[in-house]
Amino acid sequence: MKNIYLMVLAVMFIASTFITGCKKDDEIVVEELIDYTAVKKGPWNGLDSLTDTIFKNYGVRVYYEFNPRVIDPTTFYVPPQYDKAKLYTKYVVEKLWLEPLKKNFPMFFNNQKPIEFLILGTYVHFNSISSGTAAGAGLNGQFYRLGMGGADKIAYTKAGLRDHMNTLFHEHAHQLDQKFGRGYLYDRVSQGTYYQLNYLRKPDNTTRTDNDAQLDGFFTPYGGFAPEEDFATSVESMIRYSKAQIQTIVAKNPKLANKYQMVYKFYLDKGIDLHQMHDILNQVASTLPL
Amino acid sequence: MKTIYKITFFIAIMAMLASCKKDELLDGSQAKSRANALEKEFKTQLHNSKDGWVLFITTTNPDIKTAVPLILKFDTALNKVSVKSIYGNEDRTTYFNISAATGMPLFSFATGSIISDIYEIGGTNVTDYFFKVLSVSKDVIELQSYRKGTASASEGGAIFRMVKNENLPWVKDWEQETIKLFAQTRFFGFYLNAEMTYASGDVFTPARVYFLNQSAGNVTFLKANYPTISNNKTVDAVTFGYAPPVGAAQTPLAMMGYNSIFYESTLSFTPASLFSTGPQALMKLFKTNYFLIRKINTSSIDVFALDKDGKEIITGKISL
Repeated sequence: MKNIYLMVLAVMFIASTFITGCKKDDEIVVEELIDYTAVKKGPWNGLDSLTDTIFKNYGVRVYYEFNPRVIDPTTFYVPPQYDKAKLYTKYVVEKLWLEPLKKNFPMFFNNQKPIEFLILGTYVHFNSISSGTAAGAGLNGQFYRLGMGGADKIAYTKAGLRDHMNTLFHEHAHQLDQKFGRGYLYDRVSQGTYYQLNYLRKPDNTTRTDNDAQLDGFFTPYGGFAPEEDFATSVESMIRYSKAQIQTIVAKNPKLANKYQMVYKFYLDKGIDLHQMHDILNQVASTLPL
Repeated sequence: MKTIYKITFFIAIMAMLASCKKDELLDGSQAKSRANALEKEFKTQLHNSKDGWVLFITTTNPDIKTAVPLILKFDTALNKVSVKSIYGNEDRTTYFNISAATGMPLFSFATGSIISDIYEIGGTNVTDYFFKVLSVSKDVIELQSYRKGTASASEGGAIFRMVKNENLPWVKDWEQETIKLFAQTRFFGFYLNAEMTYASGDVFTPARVYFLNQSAGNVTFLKANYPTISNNKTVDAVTFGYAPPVGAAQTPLAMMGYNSIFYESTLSFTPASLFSTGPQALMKLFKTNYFLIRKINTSSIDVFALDKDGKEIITGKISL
């Protein structure tokens, strides 16, 4: 009995090689791969044409609408209002940021600009962390893409947009910091004196002003939070204030003067004079048709 | 040993029988062509409904028995969508996109829209402004929020049924009033009597409510920061006060939009009496988060609200 089973089994195994071996499909159908993240774009609207022009002229792709290809599905964000995104693209991205850089600081423009720019309506949420209108280092700690939040809330006036440029340069400074490193020596200047999370209030629980922070060796209270924000707020301040104003500020504390020189030089090496950029931005902002 | 041989023998036979010609179980079409066909059908149906489609927004608050209707009109040539809802009467430019997702079209409200406002406020089943298109027919389109709302949650939120806007009796009722409630100052600053009738048979004890204007400072703040107010020109902020027979008086923020009164609960703003606990008290009282206005009379306002199938389940009168 056992042998019969064994034999039948052996025959079946041999047979199975023939049975399953024959009648293959004539041709193996290989399905064309589906690109699930492809951006399928319908007809272009005015803003699509504008972003395309900017891409051709400056090499920066502006995104105002998102899909999982642009930001991964664990990141939550609110898309901008169409009208606001249009103003933002035209005036902030093109007129105030890319055009003056390309014209005046071609080396900096060519080497340090991100290739993608994201416009967010209000906020962006990285997992459970929610970030403010500047969109935060979580979005901007990457080299190829700069993202700015709060496009719906900006005042689209000359002054409002000029002020926004300070924030934009602040965020871009985080990128350059990530890319090149602010340096071993930079971190040692104010080492041990950072306020950390208590940056908004002094030990006596009163509000810490810019002047208080400057006397301690930081441009703003937030700059005293940690070295990375110290670096970014230095850039922000150089875009916000004129050269004369900056010199008055850095005279308050030798550490601040030291760090200012480092950051100023850092940017100069990359091909941009931040003081000059401040003046250019003032001039360009004053001529915007707003 | 014998048993093992027997079992092996039968397994082998089963395996040989089962192994043949599986291909026939599939319909033979490719995933891509199926997805494309659904996408094409979706576009066609969006286009074919002259008066658009109605999407009912349900909430996660169990007190609320109603759903907010949005009438979406799609321009498939320009990828524009205009919305008639409690938030406004087609007064915003917003765009949509249809792209590929895992095996089915992904429909997204591409620019800031009423959907992204609702998403930002939270508390509803709109947990994303990307939607998977699950099925398409002449009268009903099924959409599903792409994400569940929090980052750690799995993919796939609530399923919405979007119905064709055709011969829906409540639409005419809602569209007939041409004056703005916000401009009718006679209803402001006085106690009003709210009476409600529920289709479910629930009994409503008449409640004392009132409308007040928000302070100028609040209005400025809300117009600049509060999503459903700052992005919708039609919407005005008011206080929809409620003086319960027992317990603390409520002074929640409410909005008067297009032929509507509504209130939302959010934890993004404080104080709670204005933005969360206050509106929640109203939701519990009325079992709805909105009212559509049927008619504004000399001394009363006729209101009603719908459930997720478009059935009028609350009919009420707020009178001087």
